[in-house]
Amino acid sequence: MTKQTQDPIPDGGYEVGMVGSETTAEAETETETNTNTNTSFVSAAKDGLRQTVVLAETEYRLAVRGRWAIALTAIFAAFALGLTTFSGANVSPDGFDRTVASLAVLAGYLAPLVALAFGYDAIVGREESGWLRALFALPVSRSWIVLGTVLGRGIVLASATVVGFGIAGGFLLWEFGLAGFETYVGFVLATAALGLAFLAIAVLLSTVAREKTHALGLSLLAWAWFVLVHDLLALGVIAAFSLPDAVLSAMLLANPASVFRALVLGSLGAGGDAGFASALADVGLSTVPLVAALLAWAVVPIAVAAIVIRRRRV
Amino acid sequence: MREGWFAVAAVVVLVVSLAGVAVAMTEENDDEHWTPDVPDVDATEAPTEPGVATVDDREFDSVQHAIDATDPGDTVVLEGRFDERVIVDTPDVALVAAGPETALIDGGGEGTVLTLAAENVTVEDVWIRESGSDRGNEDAGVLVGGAGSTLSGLQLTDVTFGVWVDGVEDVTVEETTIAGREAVQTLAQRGNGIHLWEADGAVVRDNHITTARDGIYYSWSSNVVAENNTMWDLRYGVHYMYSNDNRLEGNVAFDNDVGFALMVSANLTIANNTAIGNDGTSGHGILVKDIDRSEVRDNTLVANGNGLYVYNAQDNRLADNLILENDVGIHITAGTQGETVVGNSFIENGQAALATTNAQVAWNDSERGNYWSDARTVDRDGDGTSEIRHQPAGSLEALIHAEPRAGVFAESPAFDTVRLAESSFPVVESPGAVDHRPLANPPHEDWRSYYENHDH
Repeated sequence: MTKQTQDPIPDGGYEVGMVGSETTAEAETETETNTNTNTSFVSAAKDGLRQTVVLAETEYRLAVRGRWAIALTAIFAAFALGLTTFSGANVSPDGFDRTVASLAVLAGYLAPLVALAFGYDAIVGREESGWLRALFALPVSRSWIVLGTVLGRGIVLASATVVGFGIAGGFLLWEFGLAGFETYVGFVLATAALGLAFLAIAVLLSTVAREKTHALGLSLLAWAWFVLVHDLLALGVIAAFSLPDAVLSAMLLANPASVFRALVLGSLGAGGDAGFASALADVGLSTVPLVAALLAWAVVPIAVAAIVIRRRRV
Repeated sequence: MREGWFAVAAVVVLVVSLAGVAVAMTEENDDEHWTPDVPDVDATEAPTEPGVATVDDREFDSVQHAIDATDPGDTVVLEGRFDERVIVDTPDVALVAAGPETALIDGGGEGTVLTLAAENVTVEDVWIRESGSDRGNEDAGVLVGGAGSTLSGLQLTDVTFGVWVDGVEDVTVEETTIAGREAVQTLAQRGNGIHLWEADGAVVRDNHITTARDGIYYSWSSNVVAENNTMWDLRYGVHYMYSNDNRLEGNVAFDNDVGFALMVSANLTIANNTAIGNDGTSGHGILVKDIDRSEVRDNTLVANGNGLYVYNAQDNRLADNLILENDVGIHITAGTQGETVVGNSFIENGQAALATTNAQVAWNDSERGNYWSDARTVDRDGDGTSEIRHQPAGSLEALIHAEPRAGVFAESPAFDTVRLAESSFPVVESPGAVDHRPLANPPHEDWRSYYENHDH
């Protein structure tokens, strides 16, 4: 088995089992017996990390080979280019701000949808194809399996976002020059974070769902909720009741799509929505809590999934 | 790993982008505010020579003595500095400086510096300063109490009121620069630049007015023409009260609280004026309050609080204005009715329109509506107007006006959906304002030129 690890891995198949499996098992028993040697924890964590990296690498390879990476990049590039070259350009004397304002609206729909489509089968799909059963049979912590899966797909999604919008960014640079480019880069990074947040949600749903179709249905519901229904309800609640700032902040932070929009539109100058930044300030939100909230949306669902997967029966 | 190229590509794009940002940050272009050409009101050197007033061949060391020696039709030539207050009581005389910036009358900070008590007096090119500071006493640089008088090319500094026209007709004020007391912090405690009281038939043109209360103030004055004046750093650039049948054309007002404040008047024509950056506490480009049957057309309103603020105004025509980058393009409120709003370009305003009303108002019953840069227009027959209506002011705009914090959910898909439904489906009759024939293209072709000399 150890020999195999040194061999090239032509198909990028799973190799987790071979890496430090014995030490992991050892570490687990040691944890149970509560030994106070820190080294075993460290080595267990190290092994876990190594397993995660291997898993992530595999997911990454599969996504690139399966044309997911190209497809995602193409989707982002096509929409961004379409918007910037055809509709956005004739009303954008102020360059990046105006373009980013339009792109933010598009990305608010697109990035969640793409991330959910890319992630909804991450666990449940693997189960149906029999991979998960094999994986679970190995002495690898299930939490690391979730983490590795998310990591691999996350890298693909984030890269696709950066490259896809980067292509459009190149054209915009050509058109507008460097001034104001930081707004665009900020927007791309925020879009990547939004994608990761929805990927995390997708993986959580995939972990919870019994069948692939359930996961798909749940993902579509999640998309409708976060993209459309949540904000509609929030507007209705704000219209109906007078609420303290904290509640308004909480309502905004409860939706990664809203957080993303607030983050991007709030950073724009006069070319965006002038009232937006002041409305944000009224509610008491600045860039730091917004960024923190978006990152939390990318982390917390994964953490929950890492716990929930232990109860999953294969 | 052969598949690594993808992540590598992403990292390369990211690094290049961040490098670009670093360069962009260092190349930060200077943030120049748009400012029209205005004279520096403090730049003139005061003449220090003792003043000499010449009538025919007689010389006087006091303007008043020279005036006392005049007959109607005489000209008094002034040179140097006079420290006195002057009353002109001979009709048809002219008070003329020997050359530009050569004659100064300093009032010493008390009362009115120059009082024109006779008809048809002409004053040219004189610098007048230091009136009293008593607003109740109407302390002014020049008090015009004689009909048909002309003030031309004057410079009025450190005055409470610049020119006070006191109930006489056909007065002309032209090419005069007026700078009030900047040290008086509360704008309302200053006097007005040009104060027209019952000054029918006055002509006010080519003046520069700054740091006073209101630039040109009208009270009970009719048939006044004000053209090509420039007003900045004031409370209101122009302020109408109880003054009907007036014409305001080609004026520029910037950096005031309100550019042009029209109040309690009727039959005004407000045309081709420019209001930029009027964003004080009330902050309107043009305030139309209790105004009836007036025309506001072809004005350019850029970067004000509200471009147009229309308050309890009846049957006015608001047409062909360019309304660009204001916080709110047009705000209609307080029982305003019967407005015709056509041919305007509403471009890139924070919010194009706001109507504080419980009814749905149709702004145009004409063939053509307005251009809205944020409208979804569909012009299938190519006649320049959209076949679907646009509701620039609906329930969401009203909600955000009432509860600004709701703005954090603005621009969301939910927001857009409600707006689209309100705008496009006549079934949804929500209160606000509706444009039934929005224009497909802005009627103001040149609006982009405002970006050439002003970075925003």
